[in-house]
Amino acid sequence: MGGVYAARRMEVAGSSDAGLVSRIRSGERPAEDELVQRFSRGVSIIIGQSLADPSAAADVYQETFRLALLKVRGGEVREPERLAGFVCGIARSLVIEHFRVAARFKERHEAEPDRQFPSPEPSPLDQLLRKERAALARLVLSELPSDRDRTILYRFYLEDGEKDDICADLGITALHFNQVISRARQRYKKIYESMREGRKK
Amino acid sequence: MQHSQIEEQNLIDRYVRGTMPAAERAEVEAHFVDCAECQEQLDIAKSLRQAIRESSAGWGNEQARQRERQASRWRWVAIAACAGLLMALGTSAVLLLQRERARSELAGARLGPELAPVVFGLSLSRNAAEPRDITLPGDSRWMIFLAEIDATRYLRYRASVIGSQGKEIWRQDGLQPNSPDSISVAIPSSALQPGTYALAVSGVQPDGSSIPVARFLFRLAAGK
Repeated sequence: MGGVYAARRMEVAGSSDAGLVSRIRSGERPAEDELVQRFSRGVSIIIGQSLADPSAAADVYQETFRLALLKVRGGEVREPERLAGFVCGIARSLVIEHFRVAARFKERHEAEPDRQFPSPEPSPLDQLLRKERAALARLVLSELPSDRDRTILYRFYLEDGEKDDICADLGITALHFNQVISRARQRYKKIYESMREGRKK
Repeated sequence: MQHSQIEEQNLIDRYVRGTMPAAERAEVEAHFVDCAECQEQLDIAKSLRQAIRESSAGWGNEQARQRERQASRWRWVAIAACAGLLMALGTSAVLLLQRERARSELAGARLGPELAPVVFGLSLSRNAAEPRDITLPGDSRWMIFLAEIDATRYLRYRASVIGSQGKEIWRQDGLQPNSPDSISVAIPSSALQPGTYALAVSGVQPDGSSIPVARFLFRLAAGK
């Protein structure tokens, strides 16, 4: 949730992809920092989408940038204008590799029935954040103007219903659907931000 | 990939769900890794999805249990019908006929709740004296009442729907709270008729006795 309330702009996106690659290849250290800063948040999201364990995600994140810089410096980027895709590709490969290693580890240790690994329990802070998020969601739901709109959100987010099916079942247009989802997101963001502000004061 | 394409095709939500084909996913990632706006939208979509799931944890299980109870009830009806017929008529032809009928009744009973549920929020803070107006679904489906209560005092709750004559017409026991301040009550729409009702929620004590916690009024109008 960390990024919902943080105002962000790609202030560091000053260089073109190809320009950035060329500067890194010529040994400019600030260009390397720029690459990390520019793709940092996006790479975190990509990794976080597949890896729930924060420490594993942090390892993959570090390794992504280590490898990316190594390859850029070594001239291994075939299409410098597609640097973003290149960095994403490294992150994805490392996530897949992480799962391969984890699967091998599990296979090896399944033969040891006495060995117990504690399952990761959510920390008290995580539990608190979950409760807070749930309360926000209920507030957003209760503020929706109609039960139909609430049903849209439930079916979309809870049942993973497809937009076309929901629209057909509820007799609504795609535009109405988009408006409900968009308004709910904006409202959720706003409430979350004001709650954060209130906590700071 | 163009930014407009991301919005038009709801790619943010599809990405968050993790149901995108690998090639499309790679394209979307290559775009948003460098797009602050998409990153923010992703954050919000992911968080809201999680929040809605967390806020409604519990009613899905209860719904499944209810469905199983209902199916089981019909199974017993079918068995009883078959046994009665066997004794009374003693002919296998009639038995088969009745068994088929029971089977189709059972299938019919399952059909309704498979439809998507409709969700209604019940809050004491609105105007507790005024019944909440709700339209009864035209077809048979689950109605989920999301009732705001102080759910920190008991481990289990009981919800009853009371008709205007004061008669209890539906009850659900052993409800667990979704969160410290809400409970979800799933009621098949077929159990209700148009009219005014109260949803009474009680906390269940360890000895089995119950203590009233909240009462929500709602008025059901016939749906199409």
